[in-house]
Amino acid sequence: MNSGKLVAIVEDELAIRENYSAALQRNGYRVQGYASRQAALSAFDTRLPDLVIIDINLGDEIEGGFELCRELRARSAHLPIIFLTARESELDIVSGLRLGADDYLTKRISLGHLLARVTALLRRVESLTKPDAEPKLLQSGFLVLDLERMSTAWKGQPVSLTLTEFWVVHALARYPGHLRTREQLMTAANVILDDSTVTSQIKRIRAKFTALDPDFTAIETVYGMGYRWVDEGGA
Amino acid sequence: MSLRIQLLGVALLTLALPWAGYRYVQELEGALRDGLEQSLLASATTMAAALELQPLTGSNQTQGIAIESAIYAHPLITPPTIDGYRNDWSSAPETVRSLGSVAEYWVGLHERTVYLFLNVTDEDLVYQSAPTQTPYGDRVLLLLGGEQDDWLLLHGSGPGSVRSQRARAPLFAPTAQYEDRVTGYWRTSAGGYNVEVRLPLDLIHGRLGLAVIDVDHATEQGTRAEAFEVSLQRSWQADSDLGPGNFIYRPRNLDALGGQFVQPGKRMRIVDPLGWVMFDGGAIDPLLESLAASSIGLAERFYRFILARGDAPYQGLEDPPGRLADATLSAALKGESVVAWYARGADASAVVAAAVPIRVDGEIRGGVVLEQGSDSILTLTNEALVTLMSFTLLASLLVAFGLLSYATLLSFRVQRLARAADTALSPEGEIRPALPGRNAGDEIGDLARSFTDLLRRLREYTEYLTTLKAKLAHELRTPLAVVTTSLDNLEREPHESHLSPYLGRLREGTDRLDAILGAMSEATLMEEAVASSEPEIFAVGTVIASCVEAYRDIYQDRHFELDDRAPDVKILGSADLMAQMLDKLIDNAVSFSPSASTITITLTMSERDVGIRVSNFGPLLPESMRSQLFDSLVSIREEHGQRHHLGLGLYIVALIVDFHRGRVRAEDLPDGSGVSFDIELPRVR
Repeated sequence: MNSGKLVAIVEDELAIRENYSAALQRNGYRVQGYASRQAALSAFDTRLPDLVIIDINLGDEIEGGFELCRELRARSAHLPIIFLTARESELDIVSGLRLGADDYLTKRISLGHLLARVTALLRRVESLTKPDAEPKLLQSGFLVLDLERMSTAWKGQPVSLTLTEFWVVHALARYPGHLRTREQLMTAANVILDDSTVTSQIKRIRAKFTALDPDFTAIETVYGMGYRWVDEGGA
Repeated sequence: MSLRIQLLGVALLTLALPWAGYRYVQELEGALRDGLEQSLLASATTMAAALELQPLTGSNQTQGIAIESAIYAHPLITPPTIDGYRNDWSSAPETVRSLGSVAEYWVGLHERTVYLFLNVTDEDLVYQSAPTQTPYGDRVLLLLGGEQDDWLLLHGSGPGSVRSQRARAPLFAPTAQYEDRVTGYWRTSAGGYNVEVRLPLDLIHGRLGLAVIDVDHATEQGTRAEAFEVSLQRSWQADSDLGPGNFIYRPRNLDALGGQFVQPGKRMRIVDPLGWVMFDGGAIDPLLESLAASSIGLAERFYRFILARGDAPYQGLEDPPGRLADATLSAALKGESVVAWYARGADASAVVAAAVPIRVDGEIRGGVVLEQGSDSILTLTNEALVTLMSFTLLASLLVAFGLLSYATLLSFRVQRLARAADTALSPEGEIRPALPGRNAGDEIGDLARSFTDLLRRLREYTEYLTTLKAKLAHELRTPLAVVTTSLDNLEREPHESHLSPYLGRLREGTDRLDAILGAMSEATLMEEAVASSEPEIFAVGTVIASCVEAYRDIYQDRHFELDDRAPDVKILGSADLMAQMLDKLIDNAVSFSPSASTITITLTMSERDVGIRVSNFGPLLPESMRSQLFDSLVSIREEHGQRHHLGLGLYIVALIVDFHRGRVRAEDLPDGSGVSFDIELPRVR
């Protein structure tokens, strides 16, 4: 259950911070809010939370969130970190930085969807710490998805996808050859946004796979309709 | 008018140089002429003063007799042989006088002997057949003195010497009285006969008349006796009682005297009060060797032509030969000292003549006429002018060429600046403010710098504007997040039911705000996507076909028709973006068309472009917003659907069309039933 889990929110805007806190608490989490990077770090020195939600833009420090994330990752490899940003364009930057965050979202996201992510990530951490559990795998072509650990592998190599990206790939690869509309993908990814955002997501996912395998063409665009996962052979 | 032509016009101003040179030479020539005039006049005056004491007329001329009757004897250097030929006469052939139309004659004087030569035209020579028989044949008469009774007759019975005989008017029959002092030679010639006569000066007594009697066979027929026509031609006026004209000749005393005054290069004539030449000596310089030898070049002809002063032509000054007849110079005989110029044509210098009266006790006793050529001036001005004109024309040409080159340079600089300004705004909307030539120090450099500044500020402003939308969206994002998250929490907390409607409206409002901001973000995202997308070549028909399939599924309430007249046409761009663009257009078409209507997509091609047309039935485009249709945030038409439109869809369409280097426009259908959007994209072969 959610009880007892500590979620830290690092957000300089008081109202938003309080609103997130209230929503999380209503769902049984304990929440600690911090307005600045320094405040958060000094608290984390004492004790690490179970999940951290970081706003990139922290007061005076435009990229304070990145700094904080690096420092946190240095202390814990598995600590779930979610980035929040006001601008979609920054998602590309964040993705490029490869800071090791588990998800990055815009502040347009609804509280419900945010909660879904928190839940999923916390569950993932649990399954990571129980290595002897039976892995639930989904395989399609060269793709291997571990549904418990929420990890991805392509041709044997790990692909570091964010949680949102993982959900999108899962929605596609679950029924290979079937068309998935943008709406369907959005639903699967627990996000309700516009078409362009889905397009950007697919673009980022493709980029990550192509970085590993230049011949990657498993995600096919069906113009006007959506996307489709195409098997490229057995693994 | 281009810069080059303007500066060429300015260069024409340098033609003032040769013109100034020409004026200078003209002035120079004028001054030289003046100088020559003055010196000539001075010489003539001096001579006239020296001649005051000399008697000028060699014979006492009878007053009142017509000048035309006068006979002037030209001096002969050597006495000619009386042989009927004029070839040994030293006087010029131009000194001939005419005797009506019958004859022409020359008169010469050598020492105290007068010589006459008559060339009579007579087709029908009649000799006296018998000594006393009329009509006595063709003959020549001389009338000596003023008494009008001293007639001498000369006739021949054939070629040969003749002795003169006395005769009497009116029949002029030959008498037996011979005058052996007057002898002649009769010779037939081609058209008549020639008579050469010599007679002593003393016999003339100051008056001489010539007459020719011409006897011709009459043309009457049918008479037994021979008939003759007789005519008489006189050298003096017949109807006056005054008798023959004066016989005028040059006095010997003047020869020696005049000879003293003759100067090289000048021709001096001394005339009597009536203008008869009493002395003629000297000659105008012949052309200098240098001028005579060289042929006159074209340039020099031109220069002399433009320097011409309109002098009267020089035709000798005597008419009849022996008498000064020039109107200008004759003024001297009335007491006025005159100087006049005469032109001798393109190949010779002008002649300057001075005429000065000779006065004795206030009475005019004659005149001195002094002539001189102006070769010295001619040479000087010739050389000066040629050199000057050549140099100044060269200078003019140089300046013109220099100005032309400079104009070309200026023109090139300005054109380069203009071209750069034209292309400073690239097709992608990027502004390149750095214009060429902005380092120059002159006005063109200033212009370039001003332009560059202007473009820089424009770019800054444009950048500001383009990021405004993103910044605005960003600024609004946080407060909206506050509102949304607060509302989220509020909805989940227990609340009284009567508050639900308010919460509902709150939710609607924030949803709309969210949609608006979302659309704005989408536009920004799209701009970035377009900027970062990599073009590839693809078949646009395939993409459109698959999209249309999708639309049929998605929009169940519309009918879609695809008219593909350009299969396999390829373009360079992004298939993804093309699909998104079509999505927006179809979205637009669906929103503004009535239920169950048809939306048509037509694909066409031309030599260079692909055409995509999306047309739907529905309301027409509003006039007022037509030009802003594709600008952001314009939402204008009545909506049939409930989607919230910001007009950003069309903005994204314009963005994508731009990326593909195409054009898009919106038009009402010709029959007014709806609207069509036409896109043209460059195709790839």
